[in-house]
Amino acid sequence: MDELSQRFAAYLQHRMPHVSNVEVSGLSRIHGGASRETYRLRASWRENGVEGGRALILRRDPVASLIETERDLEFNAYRAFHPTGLPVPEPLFLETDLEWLDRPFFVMEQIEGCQAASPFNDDPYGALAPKIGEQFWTHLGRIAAADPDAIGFAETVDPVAPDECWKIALGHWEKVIDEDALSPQPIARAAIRWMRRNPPPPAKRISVVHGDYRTGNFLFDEAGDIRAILDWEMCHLGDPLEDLAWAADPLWANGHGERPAGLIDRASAYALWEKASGMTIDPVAMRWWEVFAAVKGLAIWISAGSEYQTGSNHDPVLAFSSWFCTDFHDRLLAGKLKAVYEEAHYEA
Amino acid sequence: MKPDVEVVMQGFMGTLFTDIAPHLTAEYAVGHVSLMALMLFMTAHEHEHGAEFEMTDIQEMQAIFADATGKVADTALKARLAEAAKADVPSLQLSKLRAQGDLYRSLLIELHEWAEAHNAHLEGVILDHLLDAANRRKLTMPSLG
Repeated sequence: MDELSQRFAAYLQHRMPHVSNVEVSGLSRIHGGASRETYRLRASWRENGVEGGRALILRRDPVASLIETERDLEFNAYRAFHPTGLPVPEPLFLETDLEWLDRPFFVMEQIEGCQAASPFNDDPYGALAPKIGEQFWTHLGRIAAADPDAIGFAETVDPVAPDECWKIALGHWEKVIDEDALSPQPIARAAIRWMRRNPPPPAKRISVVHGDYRTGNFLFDEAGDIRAILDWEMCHLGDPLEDLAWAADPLWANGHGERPAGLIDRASAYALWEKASGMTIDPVAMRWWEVFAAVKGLAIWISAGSEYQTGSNHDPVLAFSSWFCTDFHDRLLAGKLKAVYEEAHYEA
Repeated sequence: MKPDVEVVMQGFMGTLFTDIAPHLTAEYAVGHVSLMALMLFMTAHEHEHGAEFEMTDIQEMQAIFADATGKVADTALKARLAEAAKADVPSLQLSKLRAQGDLYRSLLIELHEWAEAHNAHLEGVILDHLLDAANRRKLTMPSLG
């Protein structure tokens, strides 16, 4: 860590030529975030004869990751949303020159005095759940409502037409399954066939899709205020129902299926989202995106398992997610497939 | 007498959680140790039930294949189904059971696609199997909250 601290201090000095005596202390790696190495640290310096400093987060590309992502996508999302008032860390530097830390990285503000919910805790929010829940679903609605062009997000990503959202999203994750599956996936394959036979209606609006908006990917403080929405590395343009269904996936409910994300009841959550987004949820479209969320989850866990099995990344979180989460989403998806089958054949 | 594998692994999980993790200072190390402890719990369950899961899957798929041979018109697929339906299990070694199960799962995907187009009853039978196979692997994790 000492060497990394010194090298990062040299980088900060390079990026901030107006300050001197840059030092980095307390650098420690944060667990999780298998898609990128994440470190918290304190940087201090001298500026115009005055001591200064800031708590920072360093996000460095790994050798291999849970999800193959582009760090500039995430950085640009922070840059687009930070001025809007949505709680995201202030992005500071994006660096692709390997000279500094061997791999590309970016630097952002560290949000102090907060925690992320553990997926292994039955009740990570306690009495704060209603307050956090109101913000969680409202913020997601605000992301859906944001104009991607106006906030400068659209210029950094591929455009998409309303009737193409589902095809692009499904094609992306099906390709991941094709490439990374270590064994045949009869449940995922059946779900994909069903989704192609029963496409959703076109997106009512093209929105920024966070891509991984869920339990564990936001920070909240002791007062129950959400202070940072994190992990935007899978963000893109698409149907906002993609985010809603992913956030409401039962995997993230900490065992509380009746309270998506383990926060507030489903009806209240969706009402908050509708109010903030200015949209109404089409139940037919929503069901399609719920199936999609489970397939996307499977694709991510399959990819994680491939990384671990082939030895390209030995992070235990990859082994865990490819095991426990695959079983979870297989169960969920098999149940959904059986339900739509019975609906089609016995409820006519 | 030697202790059961499940007992040993669950004991190790407890040791890691209660004796090792609290003495680690680096957040990253604590996270890794905790996750590895949890996976010992999962591995213990897999050690006890993994072969049973695979064997049950194989037997259920063989029954589906045997039933489907009388329904599928495609002669090549029919022949492969008939062969898979009567094949013996070569070994009780888990990796070999998995390999055989995977061969059958590939065939099941093909048959499922055919059933979706031609035989709704068989489609329902396959979905029942997939749901049962997924449900029997359900593992209730200990809460770490």
